[in-house]
Amino acid sequence: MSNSVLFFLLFIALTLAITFWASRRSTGSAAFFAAGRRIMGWQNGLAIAGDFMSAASFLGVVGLISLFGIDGFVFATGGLVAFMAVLLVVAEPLRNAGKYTMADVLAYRHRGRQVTAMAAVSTLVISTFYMITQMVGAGALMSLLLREAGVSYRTAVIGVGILMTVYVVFGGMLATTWVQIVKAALLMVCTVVLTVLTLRHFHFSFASLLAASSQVSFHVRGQEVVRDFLLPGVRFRPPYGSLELLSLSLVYLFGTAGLPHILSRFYTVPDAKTARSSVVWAMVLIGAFFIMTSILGLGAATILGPDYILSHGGTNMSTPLLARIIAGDIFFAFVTAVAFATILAVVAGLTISASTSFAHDFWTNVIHRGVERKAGETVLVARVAAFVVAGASIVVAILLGPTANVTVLATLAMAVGGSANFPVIVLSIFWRRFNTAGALSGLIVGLAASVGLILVSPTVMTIDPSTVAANARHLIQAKPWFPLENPALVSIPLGFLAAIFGSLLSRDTSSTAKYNELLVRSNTGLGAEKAAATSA
Amino acid sequence: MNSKESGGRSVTGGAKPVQQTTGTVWDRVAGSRQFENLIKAKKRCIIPLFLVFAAYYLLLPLLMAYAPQLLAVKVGGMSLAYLFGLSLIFLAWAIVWLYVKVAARFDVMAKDILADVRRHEGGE
Repeated sequence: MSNSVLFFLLFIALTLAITFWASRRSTGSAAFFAAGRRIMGWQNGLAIAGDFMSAASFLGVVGLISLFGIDGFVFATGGLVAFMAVLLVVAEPLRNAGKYTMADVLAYRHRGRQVTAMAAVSTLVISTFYMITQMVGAGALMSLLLREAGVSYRTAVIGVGILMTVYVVFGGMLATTWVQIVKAALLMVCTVVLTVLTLRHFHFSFASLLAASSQVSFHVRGQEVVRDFLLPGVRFRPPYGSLELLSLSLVYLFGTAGLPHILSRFYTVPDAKTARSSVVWAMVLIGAFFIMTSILGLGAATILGPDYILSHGGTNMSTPLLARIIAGDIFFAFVTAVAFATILAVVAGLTISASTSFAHDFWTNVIHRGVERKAGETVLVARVAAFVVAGASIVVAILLGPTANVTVLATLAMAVGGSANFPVIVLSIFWRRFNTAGALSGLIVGLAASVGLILVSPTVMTIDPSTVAANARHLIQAKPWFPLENPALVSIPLGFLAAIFGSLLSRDTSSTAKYNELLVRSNTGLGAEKAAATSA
Repeated sequence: MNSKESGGRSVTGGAKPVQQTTGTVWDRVAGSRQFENLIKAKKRCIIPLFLVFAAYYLLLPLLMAYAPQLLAVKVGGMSLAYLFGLSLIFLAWAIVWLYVKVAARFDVMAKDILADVRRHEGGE
């Protein structure tokens, strides 16, 4: 186990060195919030992949495949799907027309500060909720992986929280970016090695891996069962199974394009063309990664078997256990360190996007009407905000505890991204008649519908059997009013409809007059923020 | 709030004289033939690509819900479900490749427009 600790310390030392290096270069707002806009395409592609591939995709997807079969993989591909809307619809216009946040793009066309304020609210809701999920997951995962080293849930949460704060407060976006790049590179290397070793186990015959996967035997309540893991159809069942699937697919298709920590990555590159090439890099990496996870998942199912996995820690342990069996203890330690790196990079990305939105959108643009009263004030506010956000999520994660049911928060974050942010971004860029009233009603209804529907969905409202532990119980003990766990099927159309009808009902035409400005800016890059000329 | 955006932005944006003039440079560019062509070309490319991909992707939940036995069909040792997942990744890569090729043309068009703007408005 000391190997794990050694790898952890190495990774922490490396990232702290990056932070120190970045802190000496990060002077000024553009450096702090957007890494001076000088990140290259492939670097940003790695960073996007690093921002997006969470522990859920590294450990969770492999775990699901290894226990339930190929369904898990087919759903994971949704992660790649998500980037299509980012590539085709939002990345380039955002880079051309914005400064640091999504709200910047909305601010061109819409009067008043309400739109910016609402955009900041939905950004903060998404990033903090997503962060809490990640922190709870991080604590549970680290205490599981480092059980033998005696690391508790609480220690793990505090450790992760402190590190992410240090990266963001001292190193800003530059350090966050490089932590994500290092993490993505480690993750890819680790996955490639494990895939090759898994295939070697089957003498590099994909056919024999498939043959083994088609008859996996395991025990259900003491009875031996043999099942074909290549067949679909275990996860989603009637009566609402098909609608639930559709809802989940819609979230993937539209939700990511509204996630602030992904969107803010496009401000770190010099121009729209680089923004495009960075999404391309990210999509190539993520696609390759998912193909490999399918092999790892089937490998774990056949080499280890579901019985072994379930008796050695469950879903999240499939990857590390596979590594231990086919590559030995040192590689097991390496995998746990990569999982740790994965979590850190994601939470650091969330921390910086939350604090950027608070400082730039809320503090400077809403409260002080776009004027920075003292040079460096916005960066200072962002640093303070990072402390507050990190501190709050540490406390909440500890209060919730390792067994808390936090899927609701992750679902919510994605649903808000798709239902509140995405419609308003798309309509701002593409619809001339869109106006302030439409933007406001779209943001408010999208946010309210997502939150409201989740509150009355089976994720929150379910009657638990009395055997369920107190802190894992559903919040409201009643029959759910809304049948789907994921509200996107209803809330995304509602967000769009509210934005459209809000616009049509209002006679305000000032946004129409300013449409040309956003249209020209977003499509040509005229007047776009420039990259920092030299290092500061 | 109008002054906030344009004023605040151009100050921090550095030396960029074009948009500081009258504000109508946007309308002039937006009305130009070149720009209209760019927008038309973009729409012709982006909308079909996205719809094709979205339709293919949404086929998956529909198949899972209404024709699960079809996804269970085996082809060369693989189930159609697995093949579908893989094909989605390859389709995504193909669309990305296609878009990057076409977008290179958009870059040239945008560059021409920018050069034009500089020629006509840059003197102010």
